[in-house]
Amino acid sequence: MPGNAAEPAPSEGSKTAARDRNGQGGEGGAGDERYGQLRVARHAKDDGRALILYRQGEEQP
Amino acid sequence: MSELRFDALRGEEVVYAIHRQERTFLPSREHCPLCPTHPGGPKTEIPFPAFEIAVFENRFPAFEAPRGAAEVIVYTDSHEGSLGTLSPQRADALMWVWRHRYAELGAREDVRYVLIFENRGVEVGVTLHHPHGQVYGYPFLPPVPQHELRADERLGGCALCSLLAGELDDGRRLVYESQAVAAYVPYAARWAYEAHVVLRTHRASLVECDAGELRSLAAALQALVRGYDALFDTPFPYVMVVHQAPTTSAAGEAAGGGHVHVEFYPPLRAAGKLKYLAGSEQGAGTFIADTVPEESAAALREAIALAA
Repeated sequence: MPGNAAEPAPSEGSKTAARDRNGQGGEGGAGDERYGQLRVARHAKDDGRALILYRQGEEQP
Repeated sequence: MSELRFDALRGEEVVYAIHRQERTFLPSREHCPLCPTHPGGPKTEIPFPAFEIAVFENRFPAFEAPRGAAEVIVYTDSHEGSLGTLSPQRADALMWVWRHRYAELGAREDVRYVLIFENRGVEVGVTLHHPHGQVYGYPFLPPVPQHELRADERLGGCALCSLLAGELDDGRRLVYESQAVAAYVPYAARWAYEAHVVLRTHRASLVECDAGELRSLAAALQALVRGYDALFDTPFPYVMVVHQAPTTSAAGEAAGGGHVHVEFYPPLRAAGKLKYLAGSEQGAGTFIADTVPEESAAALREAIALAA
């Protein structure tokens, strides 16, 4: 990877992001990762493909 | 799974992804796979009734693990609109999503180059009208970033820094300026209304950009797209490509090079007239241009001001 001086630190939740195997789980929740100003919710579709939903949230310090 | 074949005559890879022949082709709005899934309605790629920005692995991938990646980025759950009509906040968030995809895919050992792009308009082969872009993670270093690395060597440093300085000094081809970003029709533009949106400060990738730079980049991209649409008073087709540093070398080390910039290749050379890649472009690799970059820049500058 190139330099990453501005890389925001991942939250504790990033290692244990909630995964919903059927893709029908609610968005958000305690398992969301944070990335900069985003909240990141990871899911898996019925056929196993990854689906990531991003929501705007407050920026990380 | 795609097959790679190396063209020994041209010295470049060709990707055979024959399953893509079956991909969804210009569906009706009611059957758009990028819209949210509404109760009682057909299930789409995003099984939620609403979302902000969604990214998913392409159902018809040109690349897939363990030899690369292909993802779709859906900008909004609204079927209408464009990059230019997103709210500034959503456009800003999109820059963070780009940054995140570059960081995640670039960290993979099977990805050597992350290409974020958008094809807009049937003129450039769009098969879905819902506002979206794509990400390819190439398992090899494609020709264009190779050219950019060689340009760095030829110019004895970052080529983009040098070219940007020249454009700022000349000024005739500038179409947009802010504190962090400048946009111009390049001196040797191949397409009539080609434009490059460049970060003023050297940043190898979006990962090196701070929040203010990402916000400025989003504002510049939106201003340019709105200007394009105002130019001929019609949704302007283009191919938009985010250029960043290659991610890993074959040995797993940073490949160097890169300066974040976004290039637009619009196929229109005049209202209602398309530029085709024909004999010289395809046979010799030399573009024959129908317009002068300084005149295109003046028209585009005026259109951006009009659309502001």
